[in-house]
Amino acid sequence: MSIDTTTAGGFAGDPTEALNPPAAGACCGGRTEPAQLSTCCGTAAQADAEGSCCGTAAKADAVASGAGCCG
Amino acid sequence: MTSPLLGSAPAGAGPDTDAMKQIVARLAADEYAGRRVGTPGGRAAAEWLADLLSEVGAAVTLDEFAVRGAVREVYATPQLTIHNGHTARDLVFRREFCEHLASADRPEPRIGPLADIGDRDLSGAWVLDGGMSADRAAIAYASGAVGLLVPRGTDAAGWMPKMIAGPAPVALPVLAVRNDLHEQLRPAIGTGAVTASVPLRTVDVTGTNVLATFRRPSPERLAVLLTAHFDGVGDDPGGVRFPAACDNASGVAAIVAAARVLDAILPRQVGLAVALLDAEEAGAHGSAYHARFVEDGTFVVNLDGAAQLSDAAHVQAGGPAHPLLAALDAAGRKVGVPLLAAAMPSDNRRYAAAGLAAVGIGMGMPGYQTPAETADRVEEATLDRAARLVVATVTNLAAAYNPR
Repeated sequence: MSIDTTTAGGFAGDPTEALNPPAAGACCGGRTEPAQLSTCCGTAAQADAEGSCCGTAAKADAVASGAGCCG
Repeated sequence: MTSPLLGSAPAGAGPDTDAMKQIVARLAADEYAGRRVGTPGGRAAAEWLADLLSEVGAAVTLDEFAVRGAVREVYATPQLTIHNGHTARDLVFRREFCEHLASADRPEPRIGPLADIGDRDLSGAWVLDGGMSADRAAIAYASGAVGLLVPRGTDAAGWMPKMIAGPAPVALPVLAVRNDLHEQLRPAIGTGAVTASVPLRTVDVTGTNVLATFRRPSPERLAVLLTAHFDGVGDDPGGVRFPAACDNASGVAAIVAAARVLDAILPRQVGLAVALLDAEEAGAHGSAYHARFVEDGTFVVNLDGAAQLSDAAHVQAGGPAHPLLAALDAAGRKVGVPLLAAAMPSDNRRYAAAGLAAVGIGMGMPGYQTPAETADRVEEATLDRAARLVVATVTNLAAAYNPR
C-alpha cells in the first residue's frame, strides 16, 4: 500500500519542519545548533559579522547563481 | 471608513484584488524611485502608506531608526572598458558587469593591464580572480594591483541582480564580470588592458517603519502583527529603474488587504496591528528595531513576495510558533495553498530572534531585484491567494486561541 503525500493545500508533511527548514541557516531564526552553511544566508558568524540576518556575500553568490530562495 | 483607493470596508467579503493591484502599481511607480531606505523615494512611500492605512481607520505612526554602516550606494554609473589592440569595448552595467559589494570606492577611472591573480607582477594591473576572497584581495593590494575582476552569473533574463548590503569592503575596487565575458578576458592577459571605475560608498541613513494599529487586544487576548517590508534596492544612477513590485510591493498589498478583511471580521477582543517595514534590503534593520517594542506573546505573520506562486508557498517559522504553524497549515488547506518548509531569510527572523512566534511566507518574486521586477509581473491570483491565506491563518488562530 502506498501513502499519498500530495495535498491541495497546507503542508505535505509535518508543519513543524518549518521551524528548521532546509538551508535555513542559523542566522536570526533562533536556532541553537552550530552554524551551518546555508545556500542563501551563509553562516551565523557571517551574518553576525555583517550586522545582518543573512551572510550577504553568500546571498549575493546565491542570487547570482540563480537561486530563487533569497529574500 | 472609506478610502479613495480602498473603498468601503469589506465586511464579510474577500480581499479587494483591484485595490491590491493599485497598491503594487503605486509603490512601483517612478515617483518612489525604487524605495531604497534613506532616500526621498523611500520616505515618500512610507508617508503614502501611512496615509493609506489612516484612511481605513488604523492609528498610524511613522517610526524612524538609524541604519549605520550597512547600506552600499552606487552613486554614479560604474565604467568597465576593455582595450585589446586598437579596439575598446564598453561593457553594459548590470548586463555585463556590476559592482561587487566588497569593492572599495574608486569613482575615478583607472587604466591598467590585465593580469591573473597568480601572476608574479600585479603592479598597476586589473587582476582577474576566479572568485572573491578578502585574503587574496589584500595580497593583490599589497602587490600594487589597481583592482579586481571576479566572475558572476546572471538571472534567466540576463540581469545581474542588485543588492545594497554585503561584506566588508576591501582595499581595492572590485567589479563582478559576467561569467562568459570574464572567461573571454583570460586570453587577453599580457596584451589587453582595462579602464574601470567603481563609485560605491557606504552611507548612513534613516529608515522609517509604518506602524498601524487597527485594534488593541483586550488583556490576555490574542494579538496579531502582520508585517511586510516596503523598501527596495533603489533605482540606479542614470535612470535604470528597480520597481520592486514583487519584492515586496506585492507583500505589502496583500498584508494591507488582509488587515482590512480581518479588521471587519475578527472578534473585537483580538488585537490587530500592521508593520510595513523599511530597510529589509539592508539587512532587516526595520524589523530588528521594531521587534524590541512588540508585546510578548504577539503572533507575527510576515509576507515577503506575493507575486507568482509556483509549486508551494515557502514557510519558515521561529520562536514559539507551533500554534501559528497549525493555524497556517489549516489555512493552506482551506484556501488551497500548498506550503513548503523552506528558508525565508526576511524580517520574520528578527521577530523570532526576539522570542516572538513568527512565520515568514514567500509566494514568489519574478525578476528579483532587477529592472524586470515590474508591476505587471505580479499575478492577481497570487495576490488574492496570499491575502486569503493570511486572513484564514489569523481567523484560525483566533478560533483556537485560549487565553491563559
